[in-house]
Amino acid sequence: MIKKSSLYLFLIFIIFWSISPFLWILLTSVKPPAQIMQLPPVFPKIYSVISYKNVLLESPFPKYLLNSFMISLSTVLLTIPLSLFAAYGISRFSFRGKTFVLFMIIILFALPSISLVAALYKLFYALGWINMPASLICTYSALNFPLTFFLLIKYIDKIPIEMDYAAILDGCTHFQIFWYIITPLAAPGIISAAILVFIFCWNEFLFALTFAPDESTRMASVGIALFQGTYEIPWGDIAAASVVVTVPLLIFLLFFQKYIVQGLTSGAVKE
Amino acid sequence: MKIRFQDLTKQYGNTTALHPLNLDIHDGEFLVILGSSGSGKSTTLNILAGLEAPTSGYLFFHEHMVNHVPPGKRDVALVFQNYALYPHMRVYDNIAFPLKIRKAGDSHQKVTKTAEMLGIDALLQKYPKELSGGERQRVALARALVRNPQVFLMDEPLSNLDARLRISARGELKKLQRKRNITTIYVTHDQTEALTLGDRIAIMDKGRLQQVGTPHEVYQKPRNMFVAGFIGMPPMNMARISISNSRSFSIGGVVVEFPALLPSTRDVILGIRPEKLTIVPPHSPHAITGKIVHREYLGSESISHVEITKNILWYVNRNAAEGTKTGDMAGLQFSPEDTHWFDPVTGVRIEF
Repeated sequence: MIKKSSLYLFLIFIIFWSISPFLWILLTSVKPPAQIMQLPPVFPKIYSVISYKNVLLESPFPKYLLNSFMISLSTVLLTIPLSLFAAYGISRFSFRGKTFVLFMIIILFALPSISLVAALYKLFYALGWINMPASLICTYSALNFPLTFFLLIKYIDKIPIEMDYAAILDGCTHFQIFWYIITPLAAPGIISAAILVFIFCWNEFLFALTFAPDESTRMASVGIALFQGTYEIPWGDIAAASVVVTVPLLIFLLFFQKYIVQGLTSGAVKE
Repeated sequence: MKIRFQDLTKQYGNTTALHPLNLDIHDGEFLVILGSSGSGKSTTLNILAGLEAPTSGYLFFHEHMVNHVPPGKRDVALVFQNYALYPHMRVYDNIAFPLKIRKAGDSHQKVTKTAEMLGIDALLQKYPKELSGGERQRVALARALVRNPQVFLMDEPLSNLDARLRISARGELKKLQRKRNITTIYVTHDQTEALTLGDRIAIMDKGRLQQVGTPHEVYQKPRNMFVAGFIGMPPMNMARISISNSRSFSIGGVVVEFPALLPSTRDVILGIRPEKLTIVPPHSPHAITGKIVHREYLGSESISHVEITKNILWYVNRNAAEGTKTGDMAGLQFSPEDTHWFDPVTGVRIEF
């Protein structure tokens, strides 16, 4: 009994520990501006929506949100089909150089993104892609490809080979097998991969700041960092913007929680 | 469809899965390929279906060599051991799938007709996971039959059913095949299925075809010791005997009088089916004497384990009513026409 309650106490502590920064932001976002920097901090007596009004109505932040959404979605739509094709090929066919291909993709996985920034910047500059969504979409797709690729291989490996045989005998071409059998059966994996990619892009900061800092293509994560006040840092607006960026993601996560956990733990235990 | 295997082999790296196979399958025949795992029976089936390519040799459908014809163009249907139904499609779509891929007309009518024939028309809107084993098996059959294939292949389709369902499924399968008159190749490790279903049985072991024949032939005249030991439950009793003269032989050092003329070879293998032995009082004339060490009661019959010498244990299949018990000595009598003889070196059947 004591053991159990102490476990619960511990869990509550951990949850509070993790959630407290976010609560802090939430509180800051609804404080009247005068109380934000007050020391020691106080619980606001009256709540104010002025920061939200600033962010949503009087700044270009909604535009940044739309940019984030479009770039994240485009990345998903590019990465998932590519990695699905690749995973199907690797899972179902043996060919010369297969190990080499897998090895190269693992290397891609291991590259730290900071090491890519300079080279990619030069490349995109030469292509004239700076401040164009294409630069981010391509970078994000390449960075996420190994993750989704291996995740989907796990899913496709679990589909019994007899499915393919049955489809072959029913007259399917390889593409028809891929389209009618493999893709629908790998759907849970595809959904969880898509969500992981989307979250990655939504939160990404480094490349977004480097390749597309212009207002027209600026992503929300960068937008928060670049909030400017006339004489001081507008902490209230920044907090409100952070909440606005996080909430859709949270709703999204709650909704698809099942798939995300499935995706991250697939292959962990024998089924 | 007439099918011919001509010197067909299959190798995986250094292991030979199939030694040169020569086999003719008649049009409309129900052929059962019987063997244990690793016998090459599934390889044979996969080559027939086109899922695997032979290493050498030829496969003919009628007079056409089909080695390089892809599976989808062979007009061959396969029922898998685990049915391989598409889990994301309803029963209706599962059955309609081969028609959809082949862009066959009036698929709706064909699907409903096939479903009616197999008695699954009430399940068409369900998903495979909502079905019982027997129902899944019927859906798999329906999916195979709906496009009216020339050749029907089955890979142990009944092994996932429970014993009681298997008997009725066997009957229905045979009835269905007769009605449609489709050339059927059925792979199994279950000799009961082989004996009850097959027009002919092909017995395989270690990648070699051991014998092809009607159920009666393979049971009554097994071509070698493997077939003799494989077909029949309990298996045929076999022992090496040495013939001392034309009227007596010795088995494990014990001399037994034989009621007929014996072959002139000195060393042979004698085989007698368990149901052809009669239990008589010990040391009766022309009987092999041994000790009953164990009895298995099976209801309508019982199987006695009789130890003739330390190394020779024979089974006797007798009416349960008979009054012997474990520990008794007994004589085993047989008539000369029920004996099988095999060469002790090659294992091949010897006819006198």
